[in-house]
Amino acid sequence: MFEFFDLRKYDVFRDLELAELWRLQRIVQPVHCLEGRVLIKEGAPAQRLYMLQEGHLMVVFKDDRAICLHEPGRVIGWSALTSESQYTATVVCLTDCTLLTFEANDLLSLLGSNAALGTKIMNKIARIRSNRLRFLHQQMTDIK
Amino acid sequence: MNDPVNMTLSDGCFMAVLGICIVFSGLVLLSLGICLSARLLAWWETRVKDGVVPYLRGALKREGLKGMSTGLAEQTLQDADATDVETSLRRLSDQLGDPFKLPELLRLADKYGIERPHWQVSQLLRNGSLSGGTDGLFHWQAVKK
Repeated sequence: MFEFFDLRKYDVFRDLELAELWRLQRIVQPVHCLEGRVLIKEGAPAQRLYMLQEGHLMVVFKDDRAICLHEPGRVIGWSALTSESQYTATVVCLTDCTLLTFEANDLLSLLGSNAALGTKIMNKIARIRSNRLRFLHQQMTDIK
Repeated sequence: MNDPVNMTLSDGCFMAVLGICIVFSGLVLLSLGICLSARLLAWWETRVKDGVVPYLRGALKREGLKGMSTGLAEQTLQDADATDVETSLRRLSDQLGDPFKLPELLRLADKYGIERPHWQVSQLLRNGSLSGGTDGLFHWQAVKK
């Protein structure tokens, strides 16, 4: 059974107050994805943000380069929170996975209605995005 | 027609009791079966996770694929019989170069009938035999002797 204070285990939500966690808990849904299945398809409409709870995922980019994720709390599908309307990578489950999912519209509405919560979460998302940019930069350097 | 005497003379009471016993025995057996089914499924799931079932399935599949003419496939299958899946995957990745792209290896593994390639790769990543760089490419660690 998923409890709202479980969210605090994850880096993205660590700094949140209990009341803020409670609001988030109302829009979160646990989902399961089976081994070998595609969780996110590149180019598909970005409608959900995922957070890994358990399992092993592979994120595949356009040229078949990939990274593997297994740490609980890793965020996937952050395109759903930006102006991009499509996912930029494909995500495949290497093992059976359990994830938390947030509908982008619900999450954006919540962040829009609560400035403090929005700032905290967007700061974390910005950090994830900068890591992604570092990865892309590395790719471009290698191609040169 | 409903004379109790006729019922007694025809062993009606005995038959009624026998019928009740049969029905209730059936229900008890059915409920026991349902109770045990959870344990049976849990046991089966454990077998699947431990890799016994995938190993058996893989072995059967490999037997079926032995007739393939591709040299690489034969070599891979022989390796699978002789050693293990890691050796097969290492062989398959030889044609991809070093470092290689993991999705390409998974496609090859699927093509050559390696059972549960995603799970196998995740195990290899966990035990450190296979590792990925920040450039999105993967390479094998040296075989431990």
